[in-house]
Amino acid sequence: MAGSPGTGSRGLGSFLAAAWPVIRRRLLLALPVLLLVACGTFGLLHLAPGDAVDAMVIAGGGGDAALASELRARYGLDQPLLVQLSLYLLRLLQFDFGVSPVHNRPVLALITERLPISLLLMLTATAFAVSLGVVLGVSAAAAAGRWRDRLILAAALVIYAMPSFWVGLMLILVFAVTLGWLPVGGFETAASGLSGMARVLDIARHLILPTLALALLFVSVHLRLMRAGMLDLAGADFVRMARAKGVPRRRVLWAHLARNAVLPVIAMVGVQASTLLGGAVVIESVFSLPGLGRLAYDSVVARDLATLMGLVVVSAVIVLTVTLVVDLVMAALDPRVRLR
Amino acid sequence: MTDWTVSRRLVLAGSGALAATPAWAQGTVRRGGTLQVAYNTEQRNLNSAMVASNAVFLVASKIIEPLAEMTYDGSGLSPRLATGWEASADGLSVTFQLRRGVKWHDGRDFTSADVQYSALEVWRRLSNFGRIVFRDLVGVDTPDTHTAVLRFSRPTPAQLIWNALPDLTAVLPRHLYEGTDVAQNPRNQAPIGTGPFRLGENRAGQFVVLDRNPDYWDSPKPYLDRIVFRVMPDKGAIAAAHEAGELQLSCFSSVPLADLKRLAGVPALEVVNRGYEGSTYHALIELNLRNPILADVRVRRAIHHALDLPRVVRDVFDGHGTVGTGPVPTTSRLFYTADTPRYGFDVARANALLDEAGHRRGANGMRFSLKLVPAPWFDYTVLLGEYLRQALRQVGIDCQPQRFDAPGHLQAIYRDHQFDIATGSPVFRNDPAISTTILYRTGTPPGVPWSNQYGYASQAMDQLLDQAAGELDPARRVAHYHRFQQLAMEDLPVIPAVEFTFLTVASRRLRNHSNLPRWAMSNWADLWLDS
Amino acid sequence: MSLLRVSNLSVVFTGRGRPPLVALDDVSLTVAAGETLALVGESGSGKSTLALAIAGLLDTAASVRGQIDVAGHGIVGAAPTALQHLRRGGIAMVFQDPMSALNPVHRIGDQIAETMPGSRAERRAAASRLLHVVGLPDAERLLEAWPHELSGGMRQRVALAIALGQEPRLLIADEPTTALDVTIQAQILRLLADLQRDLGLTLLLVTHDLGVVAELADRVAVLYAGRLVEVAAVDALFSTPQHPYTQGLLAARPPFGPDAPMLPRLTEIPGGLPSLSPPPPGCRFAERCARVSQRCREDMPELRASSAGLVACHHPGATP
Repeated sequence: MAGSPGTGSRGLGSFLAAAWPVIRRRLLLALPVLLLVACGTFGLLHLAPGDAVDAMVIAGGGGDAALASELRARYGLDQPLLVQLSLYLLRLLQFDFGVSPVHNRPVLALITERLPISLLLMLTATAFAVSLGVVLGVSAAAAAGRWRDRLILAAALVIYAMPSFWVGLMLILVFAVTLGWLPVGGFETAASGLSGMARVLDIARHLILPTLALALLFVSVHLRLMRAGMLDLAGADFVRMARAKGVPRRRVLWAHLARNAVLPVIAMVGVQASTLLGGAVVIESVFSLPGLGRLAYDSVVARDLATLMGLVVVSAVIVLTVTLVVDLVMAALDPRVRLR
Repeated sequence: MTDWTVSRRLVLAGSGALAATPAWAQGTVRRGGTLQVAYNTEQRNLNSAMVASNAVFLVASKIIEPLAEMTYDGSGLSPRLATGWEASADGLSVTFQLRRGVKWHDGRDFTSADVQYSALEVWRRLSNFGRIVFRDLVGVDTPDTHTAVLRFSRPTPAQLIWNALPDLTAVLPRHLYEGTDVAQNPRNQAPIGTGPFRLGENRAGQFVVLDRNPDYWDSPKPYLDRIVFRVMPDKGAIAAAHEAGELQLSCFSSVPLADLKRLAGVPALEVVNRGYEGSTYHALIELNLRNPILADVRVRRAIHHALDLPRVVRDVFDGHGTVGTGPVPTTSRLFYTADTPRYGFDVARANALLDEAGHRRGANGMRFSLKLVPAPWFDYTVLLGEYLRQALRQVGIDCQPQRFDAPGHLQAIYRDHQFDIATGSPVFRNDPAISTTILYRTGTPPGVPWSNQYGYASQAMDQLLDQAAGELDPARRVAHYHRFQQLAMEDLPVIPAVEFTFLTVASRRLRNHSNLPRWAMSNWADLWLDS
Repeated sequence: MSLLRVSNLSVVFTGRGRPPLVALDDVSLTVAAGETLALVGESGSGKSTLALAIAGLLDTAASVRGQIDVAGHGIVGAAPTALQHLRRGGIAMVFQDPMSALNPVHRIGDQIAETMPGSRAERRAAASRLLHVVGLPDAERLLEAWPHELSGGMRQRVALAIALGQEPRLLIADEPTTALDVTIQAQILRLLADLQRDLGLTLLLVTHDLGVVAELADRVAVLYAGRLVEVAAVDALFSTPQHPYTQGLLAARPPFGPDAPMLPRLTEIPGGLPSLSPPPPGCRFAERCARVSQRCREDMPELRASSAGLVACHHPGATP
């Protein structure tokens, strides 16, 4: 007999209690990973020609050599590489991300003011991509081989083939420019003076198009995964069993088929966490959203090493967290999965 | 002795614009309203006294004011914080009469002490170009609260100082900066100035709000209640926002070139190429004279002959440019001379020169190969690189392109000299001595961007530039710079291929825009929105 | 009174890009209330298709002609809601592989109680009782268990509990022991026999295992390549099989006994099943038959009364 029956008791609290040792071990394992990521990034960034002072000089339209060397001394960029790296790691161990020479502010403050925007976008986009992918996948599978299925598959292929910035611009063109229903970009109406619920609605209106654009990147993947899963399972005995015992068709489709076929889709969300961060860079630029992705892009251009390092560490934390959360969700959804 | 004669001669290109001002500009002004402006390249440091760049000026010039602003009309300068200026005959001092009744946004009075502090601690020490113009500044006397006398250790041409006033004399409040590390002062992010607008909410990555300063010295200006600079890094999104009516203004060509024609066709919008004459750029072709092939002036001239520049203006610049004739652009009426050697499009001549220089075509039809590094700053500089590759192929020069991002490009060209031929985009800052002669003079150490890192060394050129730099007489100074342009085109270490400025996209409701030679970098006090 | 009547049933599978496949051809049979009929045949003979057709579980790719009546209700062409009615107090089904017959992400209790009427507590109590009925003690713990926590035998018992929960009159068991260990097989067969007797079930047992047939069945129907070839009482079939195919089946059987009740899938009969898309015109067993005549190849034999029951053969009779 595999395991002892009936170990699972219901309730989120007890589930989390059971998962806690796993969470703790994962967090401990994350530390060396983060350290490696930090060192790797540091090395990679120093391979790129030019430094923050070059970028600053460009931003300023020029300057003489003395000014540049003064700036380098100010930000410690004249130190040997190993000294810079060890100083950085030392500070990092104390959760000190340093000060951005470009923004002249603590990196942690820069990141924390943008983190909520990125997280919100990632969350809404993931939720939307998964829901739409699941619904369309089920819908296509239920009509497998018929015109609805073919239409959905064709649409998925077209969307998959479109670059995300283009999708973003097209959405803007249709819904903001032509129809005028939604704003072109931004996180909220500038200096609107709105507060409370009105502000929440204003932000929601601004997030619709970017969420859609970012989600469309993933919808086709989720949809195809869902459809394939549904068709794979359609011939399974438990589906026949459900029909044989008189479960209504719609419930067979969702509670039995979809409930099982969604598991690989959820697993895919974990795999795509880093892709999502990458996609956010483009979407945040097109929709003028001040998120982490754009901060990362600007920091590369400005050779803002301090901010970049902070971003890489935070991104690694995000990816590790998403992976952990996805594993927890998988464990909650699939009794066969054991947390490790 | 005053130097008014000189400043009156600062007549700039586009002076006809005033006469052509349409009737509505003199009509009844409508006050109030919010102007939404695209903010393509967000700046964290808004201290324009420290960083004289377009992106900083776009926002900061409404908050912090210089001593004078550039105009299209006869004198060329319009008073701002200074009401009068004169230079001593020996070139060792200049005196500014300062405007009375001006208050800082925090309520303190503006005085000569502020100018004294800004000049000594910021302009001559920290400002990227102020360090050149005010290099010999040794002291600022303040005989009274509204007079400031700048003293120089060596004779400094007054002409240069006057020309530098709009860009390099933004005044900072002494009471907020004195005793602090200016570069680290938090006021750089939240500037306090004397300008027509005060900094309102500043949400990093999202928007900067400027609110009307009700105590502005030039009452009843400003007319607008509020300016919102919306941070929009994507040019396509800016074009869309214009079409959706969410923006009324974008400056510095911040929509994609491809969208310009479409936007020009939108009835509610106008695309304007006025208002940037005070910061004219050159699409520059930079040559590395360390390469023995390029050290031969015949090869450099052949390269120039191989370029069909009118076609470049038409195709690459969509007509928004002028064929360059020398290091000083046509927009500088004071310094420009048309009397320079020209190298018109002539493939036969180019081939003949290359043959003469001993570079015969090889088996593959190519004479030699060059490493081409196009600058990434503008679409133009990138496209010009592509054009170069094609055009030089026609005369048997094979170009191997290599691209960097901005900091990488600076390092490759100006520090490591890892190029044979490059494109660049220096800007003419109203006087050749500020940022133009540095492209030709020897002696700049490697690592200084937009300087002579081309291996060009000419004693004649160095002597001429030194002579000009020490010349106090305005007419003779101009003559020296005419000679400079001729010599630059004879030796041709770099090819000033095309002059270009920027485009503004504006709502037709917007009045009084593009009415100054550096309008996007001016204070917009007279700007208003029609209903 | 027959509970199940199948008349002239044909099932053709049509798929895009493939020729239609005749899975069942003109099959007729009846099963009396309380009777156990074993449906025997090798893989591909159509026995599972017949079982699914009777249970109303064929998917939409199948085109069905003929009639199926269960307790007076027509199955073929019935509306989904009408079929739904028959799921309770009518037909239930257990499947071959207990590993895949239970939904891996639903708890045992939920799966048993899913379509039961009544309040949550009532259904839970009923599920618990059913677990006892199928011989699973400790029901309270099992109700909360997941399928993967149970052994194969336990799962098949759970599947039976689910089927019984529908209070069926006709239970269709499609190879219910094939996937199980030998020792477990015996237990499940005994349980089926007990249930059939105690609850008065009508049992349609689909199998290729003649050992199972001998143990449980009252009557046997032999399917070959989509057609019934012989129907007879179990004793008669084992003692005097009439159809050469049935004879082959029995001959291929190793010495009967509890140690080896499984057939080595007719390796002793030369050849294999004919292609069914389209099927040959004459007797489908003709190519493998020792008694084949020209008539067999041209003329399809119909099911006729014989000494022991019904047989479809031009040359029936005892083994020569």
